[in-house]
Amino acid sequence: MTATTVIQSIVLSILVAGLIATIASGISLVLGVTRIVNFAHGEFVMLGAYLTYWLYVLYGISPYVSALISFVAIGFLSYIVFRVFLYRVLQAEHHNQLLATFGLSILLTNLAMLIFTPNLRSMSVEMLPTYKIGAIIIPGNFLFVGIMGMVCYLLLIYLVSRTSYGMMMRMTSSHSELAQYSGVNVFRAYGLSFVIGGAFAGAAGSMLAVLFYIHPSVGLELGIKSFAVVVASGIGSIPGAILGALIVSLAEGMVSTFLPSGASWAYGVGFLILMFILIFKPTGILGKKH
Amino acid sequence: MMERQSVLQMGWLARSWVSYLIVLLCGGLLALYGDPFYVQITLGITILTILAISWDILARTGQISFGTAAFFGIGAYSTAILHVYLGVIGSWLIGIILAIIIALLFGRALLKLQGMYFAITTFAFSLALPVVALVLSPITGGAAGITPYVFWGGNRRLQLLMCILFLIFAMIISDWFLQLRLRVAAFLIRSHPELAFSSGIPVVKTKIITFGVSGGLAALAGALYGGLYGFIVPEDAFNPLWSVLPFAIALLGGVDSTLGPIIGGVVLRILEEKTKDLIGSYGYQLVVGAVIILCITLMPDGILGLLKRIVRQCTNLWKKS
Amino acid sequence: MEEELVIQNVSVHFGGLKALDNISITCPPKKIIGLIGPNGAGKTTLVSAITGFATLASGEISFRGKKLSGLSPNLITKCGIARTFQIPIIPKKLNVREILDTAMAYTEHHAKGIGFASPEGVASFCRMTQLLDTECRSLNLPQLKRLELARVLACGPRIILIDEVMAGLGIQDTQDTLVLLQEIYKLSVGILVIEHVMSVITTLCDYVFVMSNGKLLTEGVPKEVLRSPEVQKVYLGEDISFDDI
Repeated sequence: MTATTVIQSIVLSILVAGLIATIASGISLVLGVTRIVNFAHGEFVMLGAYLTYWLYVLYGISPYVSALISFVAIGFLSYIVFRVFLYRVLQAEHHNQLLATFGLSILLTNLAMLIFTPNLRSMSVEMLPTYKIGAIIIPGNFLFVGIMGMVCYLLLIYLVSRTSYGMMMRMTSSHSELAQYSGVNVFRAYGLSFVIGGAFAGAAGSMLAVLFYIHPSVGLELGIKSFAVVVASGIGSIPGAILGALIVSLAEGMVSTFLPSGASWAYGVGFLILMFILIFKPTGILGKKH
Repeated sequence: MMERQSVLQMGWLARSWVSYLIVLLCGGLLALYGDPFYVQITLGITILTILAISWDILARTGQISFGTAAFFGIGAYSTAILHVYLGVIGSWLIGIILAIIIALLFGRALLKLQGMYFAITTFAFSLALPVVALVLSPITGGAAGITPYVFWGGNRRLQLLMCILFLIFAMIISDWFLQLRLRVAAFLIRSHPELAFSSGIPVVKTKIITFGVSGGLAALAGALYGGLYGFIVPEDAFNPLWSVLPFAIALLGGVDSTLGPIIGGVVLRILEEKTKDLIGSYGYQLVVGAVIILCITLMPDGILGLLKRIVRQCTNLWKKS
Repeated sequence: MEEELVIQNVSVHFGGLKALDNISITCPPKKIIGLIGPNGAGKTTLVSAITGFATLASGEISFRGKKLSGLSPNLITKCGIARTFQIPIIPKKLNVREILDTAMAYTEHHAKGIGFASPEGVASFCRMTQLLDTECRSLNLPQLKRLELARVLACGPRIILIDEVMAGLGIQDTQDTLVLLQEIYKLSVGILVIEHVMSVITTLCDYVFVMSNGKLLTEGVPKEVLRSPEVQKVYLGEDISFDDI
């Protein structure tokens, strides 16, 4: 355990955090605006991953481009799901919303199993060059995730704070009744947040595709972990989502690298941390009571 | 609709014994004379139905758990681990009591969490436990797993009979909680907690006790599962499917009831098998997702609710004629 | 033991807002007490603090010598303090009998102490017998308010805290409720009413406390308190008529 390996592990963990941060930010946005818990968010990521994979395998398209394509495609898909199904869930009691979106998650996961088969797939990442800074090796795919994560975060902040759409969503988030009286079309704000949330899920899918094996259930665990990050770091707080993602990613990275056979159970450490945070501070690290 | 007490006030046990008898007869006949394939399937249904009852008992107090698998796994592991030291009966008694204690503590810790927070924490718990199992590998056998005692030497028919008896036990507990006064109290706790508090209902105590009972039943199901096949590994014992299928079953059959999970368990399995025939062995569980979505949007009272409505329409029509 | 409700230096904070600011009130026992003040004065918050729904930032509340702070609301109900809700809670699936029966059962039938052995008894006292099997969702506002009163009686209380029960009621219903409250008082149950309808305060109450901005402004006999310019000033801008005092 030398200084180099520690730094290497930290650097890679920070870059990987870009993936969870993107997913968590999308969830945080949707949750903050609509108060709907969309457990199927992870499945949108999974679909984005498959899209990126097939675009590469069939047409040789680079993940940087696929990220953009996924962004648009999954954003669109998300909107359709919202219009067809989720807005009905809006009227249901809160606990039924949870169950319903979970059902959607299962449906989508199994559809993916049916269409894509459960075989593990992995993208070769030769097109993403590796860099070296001193003794630290940064594989191209990790760099991609770090860069994309940063881009998505900045884009999200820009959308939310600088555009009129963002204003609409923020008003709906904090004062939905007031927003209604001010002429904000709340329904439209909901739909918009879903589109953006889904779009970022799609982009996150590309990040996933270059880092991990792709399979139909990949969205489930990632989705729940991202939800846990959002909830544990405070709902609606996008900086909180980043912070939470970093904590989880670093914890898992450390465990995975330095503890014997840690790789096989590192994923559970994240959940343990998040669970304890929720038990001791039920509104999350940066959360406000609402 | 809340069931009104009839003019003839019968005790709750008196009203439910018919359902126990039917389950015993159907299960018993199947166990003794049925095709081995169906015996195998029914074993699975029975375990899942006990889990569904466990989930439903908790859900009645407004605590919607996504982590039933956690206590399922705890039950499977604790009985398997203790078996070496305490024998079958001892390991089951102590193992399940241990699970109940953990459930009571965990339930108390989760009191401040509502809705989504509660859901995510329970789910996270069930996903974090395999880690504990892997880390404590000297005791739990780690990734290689543990081999619990197998009941009746692996005889599936006798195992099914045993599971049916435990299912009836779970039904009795469920019906106990469905006594009118307790049922109304649970309804108030989940839908109008301030009113519950103001009517003197011990909300906190009830929620914690319910969590303990629910955890205990799930642990019982886990112990049964271990005793069927004699092999437990973390991914299997804590598989999220043990959290999802129970609530799909309860939703399909009808929540807030004992017969609902029974009906749901059978019907869902039938749907799964039919879908498997249609689609193949991958992805057939999309029917589970579809069932959940359909029940919540179109059939919130489940099959049982639908049947009750039909019966009521028929009796109304009959009364008019 | 004296049926005294003592509120000592109580403060309740909601975030940065001081909903109750170091307020001290001693309710004389076995009387009908009025609690008045403009909207936002903290009257409902005080009731919530007494009944365990709001946590005290400081101070102490005791009833008959027993400390109430920190107890959960159901235990406080069993100590003999029952409250109504300003906006009636409507459990859609339940009927009147079930609500009354639940309250009686879970307060260990304290209601027997004031003469009610069953939901029928309470319903009859409150002139609600014909509504016993009616579901809550079918009740109109006056009936819901009456149900609130029946429910607190079913808890077998020593003192009831009534939060704006006259709001939204017409003249006849207000009169009927007034009569009912007086009959409840005859059962030896202490009453604390929060009200905006001043004629109710003068007719019903022996003593009144005036709150403003989370603090106690003044207290005294209704006729004097309501005539004081200090009190009339805090109500400035509110739709309150002091004419019929």
